[in-house]
Amino acid sequence: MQDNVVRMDEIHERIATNLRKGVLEYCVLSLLARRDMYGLELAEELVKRELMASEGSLYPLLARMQQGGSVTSWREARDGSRPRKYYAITDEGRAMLSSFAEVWGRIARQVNDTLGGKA
Amino acid sequence: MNNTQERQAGRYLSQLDGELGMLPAAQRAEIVDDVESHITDSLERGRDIDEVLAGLGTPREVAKTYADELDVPPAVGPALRAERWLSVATVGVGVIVSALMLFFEPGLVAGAGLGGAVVVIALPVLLGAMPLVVPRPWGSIGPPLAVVLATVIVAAGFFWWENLVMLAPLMFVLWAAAVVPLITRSRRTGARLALRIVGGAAVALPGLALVGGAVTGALEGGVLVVLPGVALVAVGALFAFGLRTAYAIVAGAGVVMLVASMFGPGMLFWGFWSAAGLWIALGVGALAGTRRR
Repeated sequence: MQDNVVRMDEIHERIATNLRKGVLEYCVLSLLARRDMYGLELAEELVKRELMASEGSLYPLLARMQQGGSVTSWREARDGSRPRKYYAITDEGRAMLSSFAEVWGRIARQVNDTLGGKA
Repeated sequence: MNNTQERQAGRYLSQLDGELGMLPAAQRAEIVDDVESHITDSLERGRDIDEVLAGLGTPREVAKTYADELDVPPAVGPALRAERWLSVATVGVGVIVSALMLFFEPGLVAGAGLGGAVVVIALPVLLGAMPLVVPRPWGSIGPPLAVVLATVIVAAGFFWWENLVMLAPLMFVLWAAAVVPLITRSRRTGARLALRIVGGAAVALPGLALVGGAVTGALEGGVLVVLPGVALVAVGALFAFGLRTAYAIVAGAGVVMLVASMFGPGMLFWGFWSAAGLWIALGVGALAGTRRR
């Protein structure tokens, strides 16, 4: 019985990990579309929303997004604190985000319909 | 950060730096900086160091995520592979040049005394090994430093003491060891094409000279001159075209010529000796800098 519960948890976690993998990038873009953030702010926000299991995966993702041109970063000391690396969304990132929102809406509807047994 | 935290964070970051070996130094430094910033910020929020590091995952896991995201093969990136190949070449050519210096030993002792002769004989091996022995994080200055030293020594040979000119093959290979990994890292294909054309031209030009000499009658020997000339032009053209077989032929011919010219020092010795080094540099450099398809 105990084993079974553990196995179910594992399965849940695996499904969630796989699904998050594809959408994390756009959640980052969406958070950055509201305001510029530094690394830990983003990490905390994503963990709080249960969108990211390991904080260690955020920085590699940001590095790739920056390479791809959807975010940009710079160093800045705000409110008298030490300099931090801030991230912001670019125009390219905003375009990607709005495309994602459309596709996501459609897929979510299709999946819900299918799961709900509709036509 | 208190002492324990600092030690733990430091160990984590240096492990991460080690695991990121497949990335260029600048990018590595940037990543380590980002993660360090994350740790410092988290500790300022009052989080526990163990929890922060556990939240990040092991250095190996973080490095692997970077490799996946940035599309670099983990552990051995192409630039690192090129560096390894070329290290073998620089050490190998260094050993051969040192061996040649032994042939000149009486002349060296006469010119620079016993101590000077020992230095000159050991120098090529040491220079050839330099890119390997300079430890991280200074590893990236090893190859350029060796190139500058070798170039200065060969130049000094022209003006001051001709025995030093014998280091020319090593200088060529060190140039390849310094330049090729850089080109491999850069995403621009123009630089690669330019290097390939220059390399192909360097192989083909002596061939053109041979053919031209035979045709105008400046060189005697007829077919015996024309054939190797045509072969050189063909290999040079294929080199410029990017054929790996041509790279291997150029490198192999360079090694054969280097060793052969050691045992048959004739009038044109220096020419063959240096050309052999240039070929090894071109061939091995091109092989190391490209991937088998």
